[in-house]
Amino acid sequence: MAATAAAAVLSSGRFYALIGFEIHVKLATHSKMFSSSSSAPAQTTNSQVTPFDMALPGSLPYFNRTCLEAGIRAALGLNCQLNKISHFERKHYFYPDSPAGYQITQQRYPFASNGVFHYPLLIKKDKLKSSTKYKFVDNQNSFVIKQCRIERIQLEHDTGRSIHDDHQNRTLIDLNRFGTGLIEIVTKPDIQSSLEGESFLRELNRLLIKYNICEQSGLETAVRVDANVSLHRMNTKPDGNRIEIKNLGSFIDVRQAIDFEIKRQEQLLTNNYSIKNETRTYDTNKYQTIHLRRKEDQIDYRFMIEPNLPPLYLYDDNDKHIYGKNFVNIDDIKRNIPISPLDERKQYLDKYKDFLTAEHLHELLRLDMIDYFRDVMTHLDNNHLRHIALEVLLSDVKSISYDGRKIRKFAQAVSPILFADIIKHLEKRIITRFSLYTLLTLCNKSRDSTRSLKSFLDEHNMYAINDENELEKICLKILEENPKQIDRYKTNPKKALEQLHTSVCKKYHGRIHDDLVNDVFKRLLDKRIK
Amino acid sequence: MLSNKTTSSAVRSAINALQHYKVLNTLTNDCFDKALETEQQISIEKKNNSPLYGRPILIKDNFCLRDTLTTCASKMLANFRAPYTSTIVQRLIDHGCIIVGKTNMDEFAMGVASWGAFGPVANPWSLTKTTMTNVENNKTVLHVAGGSSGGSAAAVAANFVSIALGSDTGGSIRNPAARCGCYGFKPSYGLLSRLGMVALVNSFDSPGFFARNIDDLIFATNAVAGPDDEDATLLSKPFENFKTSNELSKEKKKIIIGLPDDYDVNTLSSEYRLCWQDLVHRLTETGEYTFKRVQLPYTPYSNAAYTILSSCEIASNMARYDGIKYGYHTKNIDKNKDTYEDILKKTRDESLGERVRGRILAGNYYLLEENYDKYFVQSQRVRRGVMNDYKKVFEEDKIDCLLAPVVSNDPITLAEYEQADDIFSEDDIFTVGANLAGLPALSFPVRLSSKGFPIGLQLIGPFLKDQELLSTAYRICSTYQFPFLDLTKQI
Repeated sequence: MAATAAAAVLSSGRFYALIGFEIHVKLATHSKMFSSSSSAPAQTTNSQVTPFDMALPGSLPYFNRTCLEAGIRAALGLNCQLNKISHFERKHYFYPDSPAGYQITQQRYPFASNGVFHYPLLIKKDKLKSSTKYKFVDNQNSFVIKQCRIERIQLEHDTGRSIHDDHQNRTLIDLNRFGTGLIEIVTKPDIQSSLEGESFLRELNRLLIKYNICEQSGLETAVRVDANVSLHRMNTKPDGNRIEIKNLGSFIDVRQAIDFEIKRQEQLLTNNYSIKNETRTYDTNKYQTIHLRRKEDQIDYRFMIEPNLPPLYLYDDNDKHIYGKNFVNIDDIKRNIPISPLDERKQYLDKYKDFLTAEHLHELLRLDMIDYFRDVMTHLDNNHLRHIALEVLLSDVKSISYDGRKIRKFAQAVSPILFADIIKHLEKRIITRFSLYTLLTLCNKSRDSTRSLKSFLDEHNMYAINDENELEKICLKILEENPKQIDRYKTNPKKALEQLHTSVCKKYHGRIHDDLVNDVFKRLLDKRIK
Repeated sequence: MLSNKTTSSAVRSAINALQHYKVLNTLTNDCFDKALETEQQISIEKKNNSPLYGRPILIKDNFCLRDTLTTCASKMLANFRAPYTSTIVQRLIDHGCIIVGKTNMDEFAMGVASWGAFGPVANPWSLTKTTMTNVENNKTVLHVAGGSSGGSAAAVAANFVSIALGSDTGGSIRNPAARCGCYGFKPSYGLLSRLGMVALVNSFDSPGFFARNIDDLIFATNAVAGPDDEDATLLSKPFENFKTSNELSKEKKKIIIGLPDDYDVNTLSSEYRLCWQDLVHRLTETGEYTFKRVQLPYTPYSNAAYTILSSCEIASNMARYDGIKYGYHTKNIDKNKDTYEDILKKTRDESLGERVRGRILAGNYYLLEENYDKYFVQSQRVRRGVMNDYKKVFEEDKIDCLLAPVVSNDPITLAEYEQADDIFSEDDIFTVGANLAGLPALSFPVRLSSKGFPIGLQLIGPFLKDQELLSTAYRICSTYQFPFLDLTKQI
């Protein structure tokens, strides 16, 4: 298993890894970065193409303001310095999905640089105990917060889409995607393991969605990651060489690719080979990285200032005397930006300090349940209910959602309102704690997310039996069916009650309150003895 | 305007002239039928009072016109029909201009002979040289018309049309205007939209007009100048129309004209230098002009900077021609062997001319990572030096405008041009400066040479002082009469 192999390499004390990311984020804007066509995804092939998008002779780019605003939000969220003057450049290479023969980007003069991003390290709860190995730990109850420095953020556009038709030996080009706005975030190699890498990317993903920089679903569609990995012997200085792994499309791929690389490079170093610059790609089927091109084959992109776009000037409150109404003011954007995910979580700790600990929050984060938790909390109006809700989330929901992997589906099927309703019913003892797993599973499986709780309870008869008389009848029946236990009660009352409890729960699955039924059995049995 | 007027239509006259003088090869393709139709239409529904209303015009074949061939005189675009119309052309159409055809040029606007894939434009003055015939085939010897907007210049100079649209990147309006004997105006960079004009060098390209009098230049420029929300390199403030000769105040202030020493080069022929000097003397005698010699020390380096910067942008702009989306695509494909790169190479090799390929090669060399600072960035510094030279002369020395040559000698014959090996012309030194600095410049015919070819000079003005430049030109040109050619009289 690559993960354990890599972990072994890193914890051996003989090596350390330097990992950096180049992250391409699709901006959530209505139109493209340099043309007016719509940037909506999944439209009819080649239906969103202006003259500029197909590089018609005589076409010109015109910069989209909302792309700049989204970029500035990203820069602010990543604590970057905003460069008040930046330039667009052309990056030249020939490829069918690049109609002009160049991409417009910001190579030498990006609009933002020198930032830092803090992110919580996501470890499974049981491993937290051994977290003394990691830096930045205050105590076991707080998050392990790490940081990664941001080298730069640049504005650029996406390419078209190539569809390889091996059947007819041809490649088809769809230019709908060409020209849609991107930012590329380049980090410094501060990441030291695949776990850190994944944690960083997940927190970045939260930020990008919260700040409305990219569309939902993060790493799956709106974000593409290239990872730079280099392994070094402990106490040696890095020589700048690194392996670039291109186009990782999911968190899992990123982790596996990094782990594979660490192990692969360890082999090379152990056998006295040095790491030379190389570009590799990740094979998702074989879980390995594969060579793509060497440093000597690296392409010279012949970067040149884009002559059709003037320099990009950014303004702030200090420049009020210069700028016009139409210009973008960094300070305006700063004032309107939402709270960061990190700060928001701090707020939760404070707001719900009666029952929420850092460890809880960390687990919610690891399970990707923070947003769901937040929404559920707003539908419950006292801390007692909220505490119950938290407990259910971290047990039943954690299990039903496969340790958070299917949480998105769960959140869609079981809306926060429905979940809150369930908790309220639980608190009122209309349903029992034991029925929750079944109930939540049923709701999760249901395709109709608008069904009321009542309809589920009715259909599957999941109401708790609260009527004493009815309960007595049931218990009497059970006693009749289990005469052995009546006798047993005389000698081993505890065991007998346990067995009776098991029997009644088997029969009335989930509808029995523990405390109630125990009292009834005791009463009946005591009566019998007398 | 009554539609049953029997006077010959202006469009019909233009068409007749163009067809009669096919030998000059001024057009790449024509819009004759559509033009006649349009003339009919707009004579009925008179929409506005523009001085251009109903005028037949020609546009250089590097401007896109919807559903019309826009070839840039290249095999690569020989079958390209633009799905949209350039802003400038649309504005002309909105003013009532009738487009009769697209004019011939150098391939992709590179060159000074207007000799692209469809053969050369011939200088209309060649046809007046009845004494010059080719001994072998008894045909009239033809001469170059200048370039790259030669077709437009020749057509206006010969009076086929009164106004034609061209483009000037390194002198491509001023050069053919001087060679053919008409006015050629390149406005300040940032006044006229380049949307729809096939880019050669984005930083230097400027649309501009040819005409037989300065007022027509003004009418045409007024019709098209001003912001376009699709061109980010334009000035954003609204355009104020230039005033024509009638509208200007009659008060004549004294004009100080600079004579750049650095343009007085060895290659300038004595005849052409004399023309320059004679004009200076004549104007001095009127008492309304003062002349000062001025220095533009960066001039000797301007050609090199222009060459490097233009090659870089050209290599970049030409990267889009791959035959996949539009344009020429090679038919010579080996389905079993050829990769994408192979097909790309063949397509471009087969359809782009030698001069174009040479510029692309040079540009790609200069843009290599290891060369960028040495060549591209250094050239930008020289460019700034050129700009500062002009600025200093205009601001510190209080010069209103400069008077300089445009070409150094009579045009050579087409046969001689074919033999020659030059990629760049020595005459570039006169014209590239205004492109590097984005300044307005106007070429005007002065007199005929001893061999009977027009000798032209140019005025170069400060940035955005186009109005003053046009007024000065008007004043200068009204002190003498140039014998404009009119080939239509002989039809």
